[in-house]
Amino acid sequence: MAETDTCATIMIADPVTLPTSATVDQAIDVLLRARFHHLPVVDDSGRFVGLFGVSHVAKLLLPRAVTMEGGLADATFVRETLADMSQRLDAIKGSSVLDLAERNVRTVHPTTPLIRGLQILHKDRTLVPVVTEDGGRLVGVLAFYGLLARLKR
Amino acid sequence: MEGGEAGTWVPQVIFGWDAMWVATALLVLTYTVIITERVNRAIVALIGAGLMIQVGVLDQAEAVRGIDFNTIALLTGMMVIVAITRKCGVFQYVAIWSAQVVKADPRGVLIMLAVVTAVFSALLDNVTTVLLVAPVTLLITEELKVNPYPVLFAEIFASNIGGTATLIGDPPNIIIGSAAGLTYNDFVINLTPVIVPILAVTIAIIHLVWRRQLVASPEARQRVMQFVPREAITDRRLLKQSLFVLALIIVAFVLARPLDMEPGSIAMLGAALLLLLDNFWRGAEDQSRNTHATFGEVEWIVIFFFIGLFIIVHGVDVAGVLALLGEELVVATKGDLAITAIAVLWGSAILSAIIDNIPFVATMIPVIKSLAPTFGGADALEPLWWSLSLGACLGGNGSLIGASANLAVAGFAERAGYPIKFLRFLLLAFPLMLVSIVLSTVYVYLVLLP
Repeated sequence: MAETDTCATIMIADPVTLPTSATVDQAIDVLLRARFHHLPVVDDSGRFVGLFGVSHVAKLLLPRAVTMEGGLADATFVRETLADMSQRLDAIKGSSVLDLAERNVRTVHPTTPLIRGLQILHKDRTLVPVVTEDGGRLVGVLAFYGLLARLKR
Repeated sequence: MEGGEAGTWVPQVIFGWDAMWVATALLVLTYTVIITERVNRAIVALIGAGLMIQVGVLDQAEAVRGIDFNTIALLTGMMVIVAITRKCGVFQYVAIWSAQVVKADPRGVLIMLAVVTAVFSALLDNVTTVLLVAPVTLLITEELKVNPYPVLFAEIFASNIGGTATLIGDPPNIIIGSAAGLTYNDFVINLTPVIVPILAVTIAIIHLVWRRQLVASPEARQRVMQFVPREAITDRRLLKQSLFVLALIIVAFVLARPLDMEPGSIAMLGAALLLLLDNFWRGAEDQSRNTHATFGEVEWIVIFFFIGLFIIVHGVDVAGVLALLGEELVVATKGDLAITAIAVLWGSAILSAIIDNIPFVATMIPVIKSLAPTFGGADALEPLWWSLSLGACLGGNGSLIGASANLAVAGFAERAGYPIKFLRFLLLAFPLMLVSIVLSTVYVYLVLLP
């Protein structure tokens, strides 16, 4: 039978992560430094808890009525300024990333076939956490950058 | 049901079982499963309808006779019209405009949004109305930094009250109007005079309860005043087309009797016209995609629920169960029209607060029809139809599960992070609903009864 590569082949091992104790303000600093759209949030034992990233921050900067499911599809009638957003950011800076992280995230195992990992990566358009089968410890992430770097090598 | 008078059909139930017992068992079983909410109500109704045919209470032809296609056409037609109209942003425009009329004072916003909800609910359907007004409500209350709960609560009440005023405002009215041959004008003339004071009293009480919490800073109010309502209109051509067709069908509803047109035909023709206006300038592929998307917004769960329900109720009707219930009602009320009207009003209100008012009304229609000989003919039943409408529509306000609009707002509020708890809602909603029924009782007794 022909060999098939697994997610372990292309995953970025030892990725940048956010601790569960991080605030939104600290998370934004890490996101800006790491230049990743999303980062995995892990607990003290290295277990994957959820994803937090720029889309979550953007959601917090907008009125809830605009971002929620069944909310306003178009709110161009609202006069919004950078100062308004800055005010909203100030209000949420101290919030815990743990409370805001997206928990319902698809993960893969290191042994998951490569094609399945890439399919999820393509569909979810974010990074895909790679976790161990026993206890969900984070061992890496699948990301487009990692894939392209590996292909160009 | 209009199409389903129990006529010459004789049930031939398997194993020679008694049709009355089998039909009753199927009805009770269906309603019980619907109440548990374990299975989608459309699935339950269709299974109940299928079983009603398979056990021989009905055959297929008789089951089809039981479906009130006037109601189905009216519902579907209005859903298509609303699906197209909502895209132009007119609902958001009116909601924002109404908030600015009262200078974004939260107390005034509560009143205005409740009135807007009531008016839209009377002209369209109330579930769609609340789903369109609720997001604007959330945005405005977010900007005002006040709790949206009182306003959403008021909108639930306003949607059910406003929907009671017209033939097309609330599904129970659509079924009643179709079955009893009551026109759009009949509803407006007989129900609007009581709906206006009920709405006013309800809003006044809600306002009194929450007035201390509805306070916003001048800066927050200024933010709402800076909204630009005209920019909520996303498609001006569609706005004109939608308003044109809506005006046309309302005129047709008003003139339905002299024109000899049924509401179902009017709504369907209006839907077809609006679909044409929304599509004729598009390419073939775009037309297909757009029409498919519009039809996709029709609430097929509701439509199939109604179809299944009509068949089940027709089965119970031909089995003679509902005539028997009618006789029992006459005995209990001593054949007095006034007592019967009040009993129907209060019974409908209490039951509609507990169970879905649509199956309840569907079941009550043949019961009321069977009373015609007792009260001197079909025309004499009119006060009973108004009692049923007032009881079923207003009774839906009694609890969070009483009407579809309540559940729609509750679902929205939950997602928005302001959950509407069953008990908290009940504690104010049930007494408030009773106030509306007391006012209705006075009105039915003094105005509607001969």
